[in-house]
Amino acid sequence: MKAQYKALIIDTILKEVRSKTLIFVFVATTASILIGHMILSTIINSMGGDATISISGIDALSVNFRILNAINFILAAVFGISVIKSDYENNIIYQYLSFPISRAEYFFTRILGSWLLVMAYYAYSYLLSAILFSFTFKKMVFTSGHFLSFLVLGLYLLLVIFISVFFSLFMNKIGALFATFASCIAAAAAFGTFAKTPYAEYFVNMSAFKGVGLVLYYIFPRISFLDSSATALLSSTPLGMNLIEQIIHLIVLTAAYVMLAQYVIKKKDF
Amino acid sequence: MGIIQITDISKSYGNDFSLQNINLDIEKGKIFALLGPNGAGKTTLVKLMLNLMHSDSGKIEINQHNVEDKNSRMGVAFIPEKFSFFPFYTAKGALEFFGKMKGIEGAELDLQVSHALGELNISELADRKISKMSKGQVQRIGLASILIGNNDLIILDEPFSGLDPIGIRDLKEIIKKLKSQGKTLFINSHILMEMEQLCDEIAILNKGKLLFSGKVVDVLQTEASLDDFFYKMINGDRQ
Repeated sequence: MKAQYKALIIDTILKEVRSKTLIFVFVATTASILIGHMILSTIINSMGGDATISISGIDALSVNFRILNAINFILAAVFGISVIKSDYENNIIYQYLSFPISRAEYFFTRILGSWLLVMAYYAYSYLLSAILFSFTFKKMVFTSGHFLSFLVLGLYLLLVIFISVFFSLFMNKIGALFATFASCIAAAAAFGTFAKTPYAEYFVNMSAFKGVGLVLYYIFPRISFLDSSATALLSSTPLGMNLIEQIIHLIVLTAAYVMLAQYVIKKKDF
Repeated sequence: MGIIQITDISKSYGNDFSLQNINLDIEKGKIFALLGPNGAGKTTLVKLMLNLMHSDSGKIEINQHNVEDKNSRMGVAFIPEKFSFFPFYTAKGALEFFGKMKGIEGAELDLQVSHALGELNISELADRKISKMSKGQVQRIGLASILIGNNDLIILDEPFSGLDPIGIRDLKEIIKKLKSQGKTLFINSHILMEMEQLCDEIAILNKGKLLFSGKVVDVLQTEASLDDFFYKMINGDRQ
């Protein structure tokens, strides 16, 4: 890796690791995982140590991971919004862009740095939960499904960061946060509606609302496919959709949005 | 061929302001000052040179590279008017970061950082965080950054603002030293007395128009001071 990329990624991590949001989420997550572990231990002890009657360790861990995924979605969006915006607000962006790096290199290394930090937090909370739940249930509750789900969700978080950075180029922080949440929720709703629907039924009972959903389903990268895949891996259930179409759509649309972002950042005046 | 070539550059912001057909050719190894009152367009021209903004027409080349090419910024150091950097960095850490962004690493980087801190008389600030420094000290970190890397061209935007008299004197010494090493300095300023002493060539910009471009010695053959010449140019443009 080029020394410049390494320096910029480390710089991003050093900058964001001081974020009050991260510190708050870190403390809150650690506390809630520990409290959850204590409550579960108390329940299991009161049941004479046999947890399998009412709850399985793997299921409990899966529910816990879904909560962590939601927290990480918010964290990824918050980091993405501030990572370039704060350079601009602190008048430091001029310094960065005067180095012999292209704008695209600056943009994508900032995204990569934020993603690595979110992933580090995600791995920490994942591992802490897995260890504590394994102790609680007195067996290894961390499965290969959990690990694969972690990796797939990692890709999802990378795309969430990319989307929030993209919006932050045009809007203030609140606006970009709202746009990120709104677009991800709308895309998730569209995905939930159409991903398992046969093509022949797309236009049945067509309404304006359904029409907008269909447009969103095709023009927005299907990041919810990653989210759904991670959930399916956690619960070991089949996805029940056309995987080839979903993967191709995700790759093509993400590539198109990356090119669009590259064009926008290249043409932007600072 | 000059180290900076600005050809027919125009840039407008709505109806309020525009740079109009600016042409400049700045030779290597010279100290060049871009002079003008506040709002003349000096900072805009610097931003265009660093590709922080895009011109409406014309082109700018640095070291024969179009400014849209990142190679045009190879060997270029820039300090904005109010240098600032993330407060969690120490002076040494910030300078090391600047070095790494210019592709310098290891022992060479350590050497350049200690040299830069020494030249600016801020070695004792090496491990102090920027958040614990005064504005003048932070400005000195910025000035030290121009000594990091093998820079052929140094672009300084209002470098004397915010410096105390000792800082101004130190900066003048550094500028002279850099010139003696064959470096080119592009200084954006409205402090004329300092520029008269330091510069080889000047250009005067007012309301986005280039009023004059030439050698300081030629100006001083007909005028008592750069200050008088500047006043006449700007006043003439007003009438």
